Amino acid sequence: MNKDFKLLLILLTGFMLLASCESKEPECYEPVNVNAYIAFKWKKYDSVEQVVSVIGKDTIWQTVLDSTFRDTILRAAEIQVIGEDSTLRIVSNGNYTGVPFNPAKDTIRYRFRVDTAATLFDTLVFYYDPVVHFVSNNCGYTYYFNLRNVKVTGHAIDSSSLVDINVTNDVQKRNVQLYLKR
Amino acid sequence: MKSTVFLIAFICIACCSTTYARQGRDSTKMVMSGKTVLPPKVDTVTAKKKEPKPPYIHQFRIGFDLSRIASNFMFPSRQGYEIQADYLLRNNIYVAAETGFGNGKIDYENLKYTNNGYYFKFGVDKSFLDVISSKDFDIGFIGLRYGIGPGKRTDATYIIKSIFGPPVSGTIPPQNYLVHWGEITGGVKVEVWKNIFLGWNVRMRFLLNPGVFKELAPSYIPGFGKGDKSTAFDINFYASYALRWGGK
Repeated sequence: MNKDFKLLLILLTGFMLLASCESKEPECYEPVNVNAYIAFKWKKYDSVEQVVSVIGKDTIWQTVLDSTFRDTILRAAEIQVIGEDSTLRIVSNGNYTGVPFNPAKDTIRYRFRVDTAATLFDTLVFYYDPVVHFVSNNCGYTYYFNLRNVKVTGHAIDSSSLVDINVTNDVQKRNVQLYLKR
Repeated sequence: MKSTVFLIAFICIACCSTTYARQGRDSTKMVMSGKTVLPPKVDTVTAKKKEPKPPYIHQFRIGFDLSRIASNFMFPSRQGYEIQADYLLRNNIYVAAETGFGNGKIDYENLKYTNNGYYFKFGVDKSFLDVISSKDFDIGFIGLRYGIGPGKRTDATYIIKSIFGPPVSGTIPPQNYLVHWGEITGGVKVEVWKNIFLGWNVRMRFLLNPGVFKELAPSYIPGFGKGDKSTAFDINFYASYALRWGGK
């Protein structure tokens, strides 16, 4: 192998060494905050038996409801945690909102009203099992939750259903569907 | 990094093209005016005299991965060392082996553990460069490897923050593991001085048993790379010394 090629090789080697200088390990880019997402729909009251909560997903029932009622956008729905060492208060502007769960317990209660100016409150009670979940080496661990049940008082809320019992860091999921009275 | 890979590919293609162009085509027939014409007969005695084969020189080469030293300084969370050896067979084929050891460490606020391990890799390299003379041992090569590496991860302690109260902490039990992977490699080794080689190679690795880590994959598996990925890419830079004998 001639001298020029060797020189080229050594230069290439130097370039390779520079190229091999990787940037620092990336920081955590995956979401570690886990919320249960609640979607809203107005339900027109009729003679159909009211459902307080539905475990799992009944596709026939869900299809009938979905074809009848459209997603509801609540401009200032308010959700506030009850009985925790936190003053967490969420004001939602959309057709869904996310609420965190306490991993040290297996239930959590929230107070809900359709609007910050409304005087009618409902209580949402979530029953769940916390599960430790490994996200990544940079992000560490977080808690996922398996929803067992949700109960609601029937003031402004007509009924509720469990859409997806797996509460994860996926922000596209909808875990609970609330049907609101008109 | 992409431009580097393209440059390597260009050099490899250029060398292969040169090698192919040098190969002669042995034609025993000529076609003229639609008829097949055999070449004139030659003196069979003269023709039977074959050119003597070049003497076979045995070469055993052992080297050390210098890029690991640089990497150890740049990434304190993963440390490792590797030595490499190869032996020249005929037809520009080398049997190669690498071995090394290393350790990884995660020391974040919310996750802490260490792991260590060692590994062996075996395979072959094929040089695609023409041998200019019996003393030309420079190679541009591609190769395959099979790697295997046992390791151990210590207890992992984690902390999960909560807005409802104090952080929740826990411990994941230690785990012994055995990983194995396949590797495709390519590079160059050049004799820069008498019996002393410098060379680099790039590697693409494929983990053959990614399901071995059911919960916590180590951030660094010695010999392979990131444990939470099933493929890994690496670049090595070797300094080697060759022992030669025979060929007289």
